[in-house]
Amino acid sequence: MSPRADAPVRSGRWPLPNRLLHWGTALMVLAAFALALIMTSIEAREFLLRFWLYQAHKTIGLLVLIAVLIRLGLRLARGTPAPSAGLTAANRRLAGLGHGVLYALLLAMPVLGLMVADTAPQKVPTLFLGLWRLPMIVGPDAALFGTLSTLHEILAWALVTLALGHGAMAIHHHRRGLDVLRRML
Amino acid sequence: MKTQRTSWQKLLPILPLAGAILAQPMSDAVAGDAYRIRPGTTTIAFSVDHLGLFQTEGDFAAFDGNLILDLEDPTRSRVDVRVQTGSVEVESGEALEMLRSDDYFDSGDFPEMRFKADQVKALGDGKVEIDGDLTIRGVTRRQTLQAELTDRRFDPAAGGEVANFVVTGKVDRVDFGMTADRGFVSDDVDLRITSYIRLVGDDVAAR
Repeated sequence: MSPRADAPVRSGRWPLPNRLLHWGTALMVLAAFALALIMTSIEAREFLLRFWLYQAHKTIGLLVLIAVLIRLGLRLARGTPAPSAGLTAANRRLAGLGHGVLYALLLAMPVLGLMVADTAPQKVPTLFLGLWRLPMIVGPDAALFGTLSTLHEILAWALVTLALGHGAMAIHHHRRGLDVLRRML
Repeated sequence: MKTQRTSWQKLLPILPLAGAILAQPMSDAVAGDAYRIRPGTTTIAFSVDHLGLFQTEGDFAAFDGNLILDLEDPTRSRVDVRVQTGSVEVESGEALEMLRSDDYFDSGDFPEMRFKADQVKALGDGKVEIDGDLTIRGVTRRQTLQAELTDRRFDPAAGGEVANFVVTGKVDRVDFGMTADRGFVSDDVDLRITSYIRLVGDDVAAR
């Protein structure tokens, strides 16, 4: 049974765990970003609210890290579905590069965030899921803290911009009749 | 002659150290040995708790006071310290502004706080309990602090016996009208005053 000529070629779909982790990561990144915008602009005296917003942000960041590590593990163990047909080799390489950068940012952001929390002048602990206290490694370091927080912020905007571009490209190719988006649904 | 502790005898051994890092004994018009409580040899540090999870520490940079230490009869010891509330120091600038504001020390209206001890009780084992009037934001309350002489040792650099006079205690900030942020900043403020002093005694004076 051969597919109709105008029907998009379904060359391969991501397995369920990969798909769940992908969309979970997307949601968590957006949530962490929104939380960051709120928690950094909130009234300074709203100590308690600010404390829990930061804790939520940090917990989500750690969950992103775990999710990405699992995804990379799954890729290593089981490989990836066959590449989407209909993409030019150049586009495929570009997409691969974009995905690589996304993975790198998804790994770097939580690690950087943890280091920002670790070197902050106020020794506020990080409570994973509000329960488990992470050990302090470096401790307060004003210079390091300044550099790391700036980097964390710049990369946050880079990650969100790239993720939106990633989504836009998926929709663009979908409208052209390619299956890149449906592989992930 | 040896047992008679005259003023000049007590001052003699520390004269070469005048202006050095040690708290300077003053004249001994009173029974004990008198020391000046000043920055450099004394630190006045405090800490508050947040949600039982972490603490914020701070200290004061400007203060002045007297300590009269009577080792033979601790109950005759006295302390009187005045602290400039505006000299409070904490890590975050945000917190600093907050501490100086009306909600906390109200440094504009109350630039000074004071602790004046009028009762000292020996607890044994070198420890004493100090009772006195603590005045913060114009409110005076009775306050009990614990004190002890620690790390008593011969310091060759100082040319005599030195020790740390350590005062600790809990101050309830709410008692003094600091009622802000009670959901996040503990009522209890842990106080720790450490004064590095050079003990003046007969054994030293006789050297």
